[in-house]
Amino acid sequence: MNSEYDYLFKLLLIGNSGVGKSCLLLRFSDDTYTNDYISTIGVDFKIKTVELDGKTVKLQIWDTAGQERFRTITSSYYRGSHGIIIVYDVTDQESFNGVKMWLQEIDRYATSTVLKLLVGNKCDLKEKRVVEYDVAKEFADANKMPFLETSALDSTNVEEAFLTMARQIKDSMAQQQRHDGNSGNQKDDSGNVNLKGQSLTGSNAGGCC
Amino acid sequence: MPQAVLVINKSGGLIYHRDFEEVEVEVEDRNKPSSNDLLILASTLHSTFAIASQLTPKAIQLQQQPLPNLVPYVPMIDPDNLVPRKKLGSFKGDDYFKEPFQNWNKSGIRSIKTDQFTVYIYQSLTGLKLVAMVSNRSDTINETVVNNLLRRIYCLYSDYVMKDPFYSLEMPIKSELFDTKLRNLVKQL
Repeated sequence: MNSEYDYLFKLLLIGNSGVGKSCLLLRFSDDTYTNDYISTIGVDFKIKTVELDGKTVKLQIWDTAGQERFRTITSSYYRGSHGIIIVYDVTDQESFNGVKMWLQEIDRYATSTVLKLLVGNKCDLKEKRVVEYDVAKEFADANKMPFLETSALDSTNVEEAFLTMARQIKDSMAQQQRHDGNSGNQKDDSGNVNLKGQSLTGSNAGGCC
Repeated sequence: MPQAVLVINKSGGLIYHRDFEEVEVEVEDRNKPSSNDLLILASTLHSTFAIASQLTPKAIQLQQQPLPNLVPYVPMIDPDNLVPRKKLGSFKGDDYFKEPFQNWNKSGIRSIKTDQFTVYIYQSLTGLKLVAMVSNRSDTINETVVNNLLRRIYCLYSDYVMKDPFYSLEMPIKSELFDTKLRNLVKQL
């Protein structure tokens, strides 16, 4: 038959260049690790099939390029994503400072209901650590998003990071459906269509310059 | 007859895929793309499309032409075989539309031509992409015909997917009715 999966979730990995987004994804999807650094060009995809509450869910993870020069393209990948994982490197203060900028990007391009997750990668490099857990945790709490420290090298928390996200999306989706079912005359605008954002047909950006 | 029809949602996820074989041949399993391959294919197409629309000079995108790029209406049904003419549209008569229409895809990719096949993309105003892969061997199918077909598939989508109360938005299409109607439509080509 046509499709052997019930749900298709779009997850997005963003973060500065070299923080280990691709490695994190490689660990999750293929359970392998490579020490080579190959810069992602544009975007890369990995797909993982998981079972949640008896439903087959395909997690399609869009691994974006962190390099500045790909920024104009990456912005078009935010559309319609269910979850966004912001990755920084615990041994690189600059990448943690960049998280703020990535949050702004999310506000600008993604829907307001998108689920966010902050991930501090490379937590196995204990002696090189510059971003403390508490500092990042506080920052994540202030921005109302969950936080995890992972290591793609020894696969700490990698599975958890993605599966937590998948479960949250599934739950919020079930909630949304219940909400739609008994919405009636509720004066709650969370179910309304968000008219912000770019036009899709290309004649966009007309007004802003 | 197109070899395959894909429906890609606005975020680049593949929500429908159907292969059409001109002759029923048993293709060996290893030659068939897996569902993951197809997902990657669809999303790559989506990203290439996004890059293409960024490459289009702003001047062209902003040009205000009165109804540019009108696609002429092509009746899908072969005039010789139309006894008795079957009704296609749900409530709009024997066909979904009869007037020329506009392709909303103004700055992205409309078609990709290779040695073997051509990929045609029709984009709706909401960003839904309907994709048809057509073998270059068939000389009866050109861009106008494919655009007419894809627009009709869009009509089917509006009628049988969007009006399905059990359908969750942006998710894989599992509607049997849509599938059957689409296959009937393609068979008439």
